[in-house]
Amino acid sequence: MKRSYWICQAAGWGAYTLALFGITTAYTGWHVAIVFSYALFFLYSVALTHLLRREIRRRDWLALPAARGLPRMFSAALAVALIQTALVVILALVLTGSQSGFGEVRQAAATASGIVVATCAWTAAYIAVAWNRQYREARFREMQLQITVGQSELRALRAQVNPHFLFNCLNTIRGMISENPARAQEMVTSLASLFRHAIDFRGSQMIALKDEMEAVSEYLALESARLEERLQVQIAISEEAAQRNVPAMVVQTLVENAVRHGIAELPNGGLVTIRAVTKNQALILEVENTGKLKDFNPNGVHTGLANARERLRLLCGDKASLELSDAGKGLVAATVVIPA
Amino acid sequence: MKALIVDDERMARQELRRLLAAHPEVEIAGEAASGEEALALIQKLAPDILFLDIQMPGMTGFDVLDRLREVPEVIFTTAYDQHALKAFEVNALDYLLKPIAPNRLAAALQKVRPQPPRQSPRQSMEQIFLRDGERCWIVKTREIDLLESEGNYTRVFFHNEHPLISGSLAAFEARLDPSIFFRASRRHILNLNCIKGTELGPAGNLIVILPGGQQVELSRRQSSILREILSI
Repeated sequence: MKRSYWICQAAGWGAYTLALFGITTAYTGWHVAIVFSYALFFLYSVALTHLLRREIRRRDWLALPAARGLPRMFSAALAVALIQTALVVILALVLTGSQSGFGEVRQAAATASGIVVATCAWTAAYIAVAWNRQYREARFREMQLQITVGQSELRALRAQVNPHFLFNCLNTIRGMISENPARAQEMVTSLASLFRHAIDFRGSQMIALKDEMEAVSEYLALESARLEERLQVQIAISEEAAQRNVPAMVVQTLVENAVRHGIAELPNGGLVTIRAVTKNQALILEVENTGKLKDFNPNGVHTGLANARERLRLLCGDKASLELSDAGKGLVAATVVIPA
Repeated sequence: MKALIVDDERMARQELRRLLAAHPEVEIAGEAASGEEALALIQKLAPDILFLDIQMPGMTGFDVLDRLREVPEVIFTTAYDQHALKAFEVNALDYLLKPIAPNRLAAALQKVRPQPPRQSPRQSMEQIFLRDGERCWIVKTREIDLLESEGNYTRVFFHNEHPLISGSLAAFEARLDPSIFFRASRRHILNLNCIKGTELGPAGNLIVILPGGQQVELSRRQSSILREILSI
């Protein structure tokens, strides 16, 4: 991209400069000063339009809707063209005096209009190329999202319908029916809600954290019945954070990893802590569990985690992040940051 | 029949206990909530039958069996474990899927119920647990033909299998009945009941031929000991 940009710059301004040089020499004949001033024209045209490009990028004008972006970009292009014209005239007067052919106002105006057209054409070409690229990138991201979502829906369904979880759960319910019938009834309801959530879930959706937490709570209720006192849970979610949106099933994936690969691997169990706060408009969500990072089975977790991370990136942008880290003191933490 | 239930989930143990109530011949001698506890109770109670959960924290059901010198009858229990299920099916091990169906439990118990007395009552019923990667076997020691040392591993020949098992030959020697198993050489232990024939080696030593066609060459010293045992 970078290389083709410079090739276009050199070719475009080179051709334009040569054309202009040809016309001028037809009037004035060859002159060292004229050759020199056109060489300079080529250089500062390239430099100025390069600056124009940098400004367009820095101010993110390409991302604006056309009705707002185009006037800004073409005004800037016009300003650049005027600077170019001024430089042409000044240099011509300094270097060649009256021989330049710029003595007449008419001549200067013709040159100015030529430069304005050239620089605006440059800008139009630049916008066309950049927009086309943005469009293709957007299409590509959308396709990527669709693929990832397809995978995650499948995986989420499989995770919720995780056979090991499901059959253990049914086994617990079977036992609970004679030990504590009321609790058994609750478990059946929880299992039903969890399955409903898994079936309704669309991976491309953002859902409110408080809604996601409902499914997470059902899941935790079922795992608590199975693991009993081995599973301790703490939830601390601020009012503001609860209203924020998260990609559906991301919290569920993290909590499930924490239970399945953290707590269930420990003979004496441990604690799962779910925290969410907003800080500088960003949502910071943390799922922490007792355990060691190396205890994590690379096969299962990393696909689930990688998928969650990918959906987070596609739905919330490159600035959103998901990190799994050893939090010290025998704790493992998964941290999600979603900027405002 | 004395039984030990091993499962990390209380509710799962409770449920199995309830199901076993329909089988008065099974006496539940104890319950273990972890691999460590299971090892201690097996030592203490010497159960005839183990109901063994596979996925337990710290020590899996397979790890428990790995540490036993001698394994009782085992009925594995699992909610779902693709790898384990494959191992069970290949080697016809008994397993029950949770939640356990009462008729499946009855069928599994039928299989392990003590058999009527054999013609040769002195024949050893000892069995050991062997694991090679994802594959595992519970093998009657009398069905092992030959053990061959390969460094820290030992190749065990039985039926038509010869998996490479973690553990030195010396470790196996300590677990096997010396009246049946003979240390033939530095690298070999063979089952005296499985000798198919012998040949005379170049130095007057013996070469033993086993059912699988393997030949084991003995030193002259071991040859004379074997001659004595076999009275040839």
